[in-house]
Amino acid sequence: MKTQRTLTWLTAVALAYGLFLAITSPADVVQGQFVRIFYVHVSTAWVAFAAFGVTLIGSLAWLGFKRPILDRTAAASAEIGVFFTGLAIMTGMIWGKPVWGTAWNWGDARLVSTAVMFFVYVGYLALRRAISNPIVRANRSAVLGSMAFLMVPAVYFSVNLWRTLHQGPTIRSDGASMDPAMLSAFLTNLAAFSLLFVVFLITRTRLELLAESVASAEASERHGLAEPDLEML
Amino acid sequence: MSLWKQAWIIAKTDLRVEGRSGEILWIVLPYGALALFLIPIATALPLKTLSDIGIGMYWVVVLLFGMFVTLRQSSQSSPQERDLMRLTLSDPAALFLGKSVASATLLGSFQLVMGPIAVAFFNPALPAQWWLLIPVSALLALAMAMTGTLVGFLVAGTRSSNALAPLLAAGLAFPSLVGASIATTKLSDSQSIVTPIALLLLVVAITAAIGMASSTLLEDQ
Repeated sequence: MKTQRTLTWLTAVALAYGLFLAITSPADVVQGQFVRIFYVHVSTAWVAFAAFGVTLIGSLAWLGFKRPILDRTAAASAEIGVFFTGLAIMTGMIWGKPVWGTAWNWGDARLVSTAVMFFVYVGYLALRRAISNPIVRANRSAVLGSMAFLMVPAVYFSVNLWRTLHQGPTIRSDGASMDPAMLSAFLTNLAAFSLLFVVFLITRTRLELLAESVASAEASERHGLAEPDLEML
Repeated sequence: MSLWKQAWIIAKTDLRVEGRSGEILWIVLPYGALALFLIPIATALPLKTLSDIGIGMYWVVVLLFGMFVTLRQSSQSSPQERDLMRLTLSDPAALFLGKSVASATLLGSFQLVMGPIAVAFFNPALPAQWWLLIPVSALLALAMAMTGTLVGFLVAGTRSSNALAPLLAAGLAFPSLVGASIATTKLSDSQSIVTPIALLLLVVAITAAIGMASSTLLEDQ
């Protein structure tokens, strides 16, 4: 618990520092002040991809080892992934309005495929809610969690296959294409959002465990109340 | 009995059941045609624009109504049927394969009927090598059939499965739709369609692998 508290504080400091760097970094030659949205947009998209990656690992690990914590982690990570995908889409739209001239552009493969990925994982969460048996839920979610991850490379490589307006990689293999101050702000925000993901994941997994304990206690209580009725019969 | 023989028997049985119920012929096909009919009325677009979007509209109708085909009532197994399958020691992977083959056959037939309807309603400018769209359609049918069958297994017996299945299936079929759409665009520009064909083949291979590997797990529910 103490480690989690320390991690939470560390994340808060990293986010504050990331925000400071994002505000004080130089404006872009082409995009002007709107480039600042990019620090949040790319970081949220990165966390979404990472979260769905954890869902895949948790799902495959559940299929192999059948430990409840693995299913719980996969589900918690998918929830966080959906949240950050939504944020990535929203920040992209906020950025797109002044820069592209429109909030939504059907000509951009990454934008459209990210929205579809969002709905696929909403379906994953809906499937979990629709099944009450924990083992059946974990098995079916693990299969869907593995299959749904196919959307991640589909989103990433969509710009190579389909039409797009999205810019190319920000950091290329031949060296960074950014101003050092901008790169520093970018990497700090990326690290801060990654820490935020870890904090969210630990907290959500613990919450899920508590919810299961409460549900189990309530079921036992209901069972206890049902006994007098049977005696009356 | 081999896996392929079992799958073949299951596919034949599914097609026979569908032949008797007529769910696709009497419900899904007219509904799909009606959707194609309603789009020009709702959008009130000029004829030229309708002609431009014609093939795209066809793919959308195939995707959305194809979900009805793969998730049709006659393809769903009752708990008693599943018990019987277990008692006959049939391979769960054969069930996945057989149902996928049956759905792919029906989807292919659905596309064959909807194609001329779309051409008649929208008068699209077909690419010169339009016949190359046939293998694309066949691969799309197979990919969607496998995705739909797998989703059917995932949502079987759940609350609100009727609403959940199309949401999952349509989302997971997105890469297949992109493959078909890219193939059409490339054909219109007289370019090679090797990349979209490879994409569709990849989707079919991955879905088949996941479906067959998880069929035993999903059967034991």
